[in-house]
Amino acid sequence: MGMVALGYETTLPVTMSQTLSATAAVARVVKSAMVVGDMPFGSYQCGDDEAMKNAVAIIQAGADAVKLEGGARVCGLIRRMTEAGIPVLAHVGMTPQSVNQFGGFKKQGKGEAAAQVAADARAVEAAGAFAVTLECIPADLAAKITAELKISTIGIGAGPACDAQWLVMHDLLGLNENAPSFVKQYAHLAGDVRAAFAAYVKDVTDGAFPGV
Amino acid sequence: MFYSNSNLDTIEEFEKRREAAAKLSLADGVELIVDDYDHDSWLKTVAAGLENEPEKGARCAKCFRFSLARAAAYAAAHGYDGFASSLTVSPHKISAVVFGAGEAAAETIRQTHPDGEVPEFLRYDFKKGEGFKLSVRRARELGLYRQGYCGCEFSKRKGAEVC
Repeated sequence: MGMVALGYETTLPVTMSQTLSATAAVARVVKSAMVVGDMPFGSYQCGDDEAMKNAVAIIQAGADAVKLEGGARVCGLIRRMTEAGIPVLAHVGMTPQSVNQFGGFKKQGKGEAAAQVAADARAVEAAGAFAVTLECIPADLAAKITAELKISTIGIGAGPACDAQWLVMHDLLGLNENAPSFVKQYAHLAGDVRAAFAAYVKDVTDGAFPGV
Repeated sequence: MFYSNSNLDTIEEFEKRREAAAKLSLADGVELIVDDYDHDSWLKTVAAGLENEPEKGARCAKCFRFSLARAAAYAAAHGYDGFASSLTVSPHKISAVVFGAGEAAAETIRQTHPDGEVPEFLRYDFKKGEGFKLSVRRARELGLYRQGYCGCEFSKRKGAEVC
């Protein structure tokens, strides 16, 4: 949401109130899909009690589950949320809220770092996460983790072997013209939108719209 | 246990794998049903025009659909509630593609039996939870033949992955 809808360079500026507003809007129209509220940066880094309050707020806004980033370091939180009845979708590999530590949106888990990503995935499973996002890691590592875990893996830039795949709607529809390289666009709506607005402006300036 | 392997390039390989399936069915006390071996039909229906596709490509997806259609037809004809595929145990098989093939096979049966109860495809991923490792251990315990290639002549090419 932060980068494709709110115009931010990273996901870091997204706030709890923006998350609650978006979660509630999605929950109002969804009929059968599971709604997962993504916990924004800062909402679970400032103490576990604060994190719990924020997770509860996201569920009360209409989400069925929350997602948070990190491996072993967030396992205490995952355990606590799960025990409180809040399903947690974990997220390891290239976790966008750690972009400043990574020095950019760079592939993680290459070479010796693979063992850490795999250990993080095992840790979040043991802590009670119902599924784990594997973002931007080598495809063979994602395949290995997917086979090892009992919970489902959801890949984004992690090859075809994951149990399920993420694709950001704006990227899928071609609304985001700066999409990551692993994205496949199934439409190119940015051009269509631009053409529609140009036609509208032309009609107004030509006097063709509105009609008399 | 429904054994259907018309993708195998030789009858000898079909027999080796059938014997392994027979040992497993005996050990687990489940019935083994052996489908006809018809590699010529597989070559015409699946491989024609896709001979140069890489492993995990279009030929493999079509092959899954071929075998799972036979499993679905058998399941429907014999009153089974559902069917799954052991293809998902392989780390070299993309489970989502297997699931797509299984659901397409179930849908075909549904369309041809509009008023009857038809078997559902069960999206069971046998590789999950170290399933592949468990399968290797079980094969070792039972002394089962372990294949060195997926099955068809094209999967034997240099660089192709074993299953």
